[in-house]
Amino acid sequence: MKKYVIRRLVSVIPVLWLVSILVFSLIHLVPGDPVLVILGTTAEKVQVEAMRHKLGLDRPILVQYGTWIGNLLQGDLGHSIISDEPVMEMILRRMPVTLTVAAAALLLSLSISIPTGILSALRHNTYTDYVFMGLVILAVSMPSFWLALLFILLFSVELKLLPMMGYVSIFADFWEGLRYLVLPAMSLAFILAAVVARMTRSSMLEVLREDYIVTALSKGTPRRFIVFKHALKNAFAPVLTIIGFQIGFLLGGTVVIEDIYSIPGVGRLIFTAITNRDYPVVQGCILMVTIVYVFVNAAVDLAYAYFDPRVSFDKK
Amino acid sequence: MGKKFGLGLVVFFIAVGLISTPVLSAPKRGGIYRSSMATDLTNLDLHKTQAQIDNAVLGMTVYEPLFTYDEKFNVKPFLCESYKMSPDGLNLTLNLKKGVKFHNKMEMKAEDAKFCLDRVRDPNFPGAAQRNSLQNVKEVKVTGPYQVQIILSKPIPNIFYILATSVGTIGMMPQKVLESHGNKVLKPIGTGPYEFGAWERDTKVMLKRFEAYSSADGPVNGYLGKRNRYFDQLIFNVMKEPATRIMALDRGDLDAVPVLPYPQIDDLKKRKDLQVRTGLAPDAPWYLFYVNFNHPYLSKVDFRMALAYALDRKEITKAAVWGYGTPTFSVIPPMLPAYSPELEKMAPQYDPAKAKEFLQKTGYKGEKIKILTSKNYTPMYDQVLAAQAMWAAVGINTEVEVVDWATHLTRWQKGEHEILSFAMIGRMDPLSQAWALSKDNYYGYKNQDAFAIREAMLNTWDPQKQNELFRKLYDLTCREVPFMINFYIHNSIALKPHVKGYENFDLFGGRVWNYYFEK
Repeated sequence: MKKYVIRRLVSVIPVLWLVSILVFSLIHLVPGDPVLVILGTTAEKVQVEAMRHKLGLDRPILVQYGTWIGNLLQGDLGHSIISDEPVMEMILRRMPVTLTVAAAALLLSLSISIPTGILSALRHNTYTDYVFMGLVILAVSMPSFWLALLFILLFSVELKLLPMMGYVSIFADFWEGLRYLVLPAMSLAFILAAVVARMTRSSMLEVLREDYIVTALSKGTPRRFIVFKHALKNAFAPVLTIIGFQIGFLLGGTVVIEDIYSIPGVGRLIFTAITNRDYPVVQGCILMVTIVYVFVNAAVDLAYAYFDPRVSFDKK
Repeated sequence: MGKKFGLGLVVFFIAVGLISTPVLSAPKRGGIYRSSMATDLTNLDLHKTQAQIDNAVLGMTVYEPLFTYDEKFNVKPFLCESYKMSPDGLNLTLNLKKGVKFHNKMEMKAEDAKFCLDRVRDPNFPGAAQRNSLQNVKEVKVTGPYQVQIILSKPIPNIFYILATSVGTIGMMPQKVLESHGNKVLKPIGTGPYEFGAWERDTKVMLKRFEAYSSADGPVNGYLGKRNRYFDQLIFNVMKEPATRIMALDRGDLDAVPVLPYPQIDDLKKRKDLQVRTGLAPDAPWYLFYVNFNHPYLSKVDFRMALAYALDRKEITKAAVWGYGTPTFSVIPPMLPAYSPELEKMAPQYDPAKAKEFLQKTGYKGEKIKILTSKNYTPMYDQVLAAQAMWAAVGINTEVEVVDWATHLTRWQKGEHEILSFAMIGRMDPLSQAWALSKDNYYGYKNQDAFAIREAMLNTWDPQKQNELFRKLYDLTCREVPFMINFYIHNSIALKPHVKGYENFDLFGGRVWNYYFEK
């Protein structure tokens, strides 16, 4: 196990290096000049050239990459081309916001999807199953931005129960923070829940047909015990993989929800940085998201051993 | 008795009227004014940004310039009391207002003005928006505690526009504070009616009333005159999604929403629980099509004429901004003194038959011409869709290429396009407004007449003469069609009914003074 963890941690290094090359190449190779974004449409050629020189964007791309990676090894992600702010500060300010929203959405999603998936599997081909799976298809089909606008209309504008924009940290004010989290978390959770519910159902169905479950049933083991102790634990490994992917999506792919609810998260930062060709910010953000994603996936891999004892990490 | 009672009643009502009218309508101090902004600020340092949002928020609250505009859009002294230009146009003396306080309570003096004017010209200061415009400034000298002299190597006829409210306003900042912070703006300090509170990035900007404000007094006249700061605080919330902005207004989370979504303006105007204002500002962005002069067909004047005669600008305006724009071919903004409705007659008017005639002269055989656009600003894309159909109707075959905004800007600057759908921010001075007809243009237009007119503009101080030359340039654009302007967009704002005293004077940003809450 220890060896696996070390191996996994070491394997992160080439992954991050490759990601750094990919991100750096892609963002620099696509057309678009951050200098023009900064200076606007009234900029003149002389100004543009001077600014490009000032930012070091007139140097060969390899030199730019070398400088960036050199600084990165010293923990310096550089400064934003647009706002001149240290990229690390920008990310660290937004990462807790994104992580909180992601965690809330994930918790809500799991609290809906796991029971729904289990119930559907246990009541396979009954009305309960049909209704739940119908709702799942509905949830998958609804775009999150549309759902978000409907939630705002209902819970904020009509019922005036919840705030419709902004963000308050739950660490600063737990209850107020929670109020601000509900709608974004709900908007994200429904789609995530739909996918997990379907996966839980199919995985449970497969496990419930296994011989050892039939044996347990025939021996008179209580049904609840069989479902939660034997079936769910074994059915959970593929569900866990899906959850791992979803965390990745939540870390960087929630731009629309962040825009609608005016949440200052990483997704919005990446999107704005790409639009403005703010190279250091794009590179820094994607690198940070990759790091978190790689570690989440490593944690998911490690969790397999708990849910499925057949999985062994140490090569013999 | 009856007469006396009647008279008494009249006197009573007049007295009540006299007493109560001013009481009911008297502006009141207090409250937090909450508005939205579609994008976040890009910078707190107004000297290094040309982003409209930075000027609209910080340029109207925290920072103030040396000159600004009256309600007829004439440039007038603001933070300077008076000025004197030497007869040769090479020495401009500015006498600053006395007793103007910065937000840190220090008085604004000549050293601060010199520092700011030097700062925006400094080649080592990144992003200085006005550096190029001020390249003929040789030196800025302090000639008294409240007096500076700007020494020029060559006259700059539009210098007052450069020193006035603009995109890239040269706001006055305290020298000592900036120098103690390594020439960086850590917390914006200016002389404006509201002082900076906080900037929560991607969330909101908060400002509070500057109690010791002393820059402006007298009758309100454009940006001049008394700036009554009725609100205790101003909060500008970053809300990118238009639907959310309107819902926040409905919910009571906002008092005002500027930049309304065009498709919704008509419906919003019908509502009795909102005040909706729309109008044409003199600095309104103008939407146009550039053509590349290195293209075999687009370089031919007959082909450009065919393109221009095929366009129905009224319909394009309806399609792109739901009619909330002023259709015109004029490079002279319709609100500026140089403009007159008569000018419209000189422009190519919608005439498909004439467009076909011009097209026949070019030998065009239906080759595909690409229109480059992006969706960052929806009218930029929508005007393409309308124009494409109009050009197709006269036999011009076009194809739309959509790119992202950064790519769009780069290809505009490199001239890597055939037809380019674009927008320019309106400028108050003719020279800047007609920049697209200068030698430095990006699309390959070379016309010695145009360059000569601009050169003549550079050498005259007389506003009448400037306007005359401006009209000559416009005349040239009608005959040459170096680009095709479609419309100037209208500004818009929705306010809750309790906001009183609002007047839609919007020039690089709406006034945030002299209006108040009724309740």
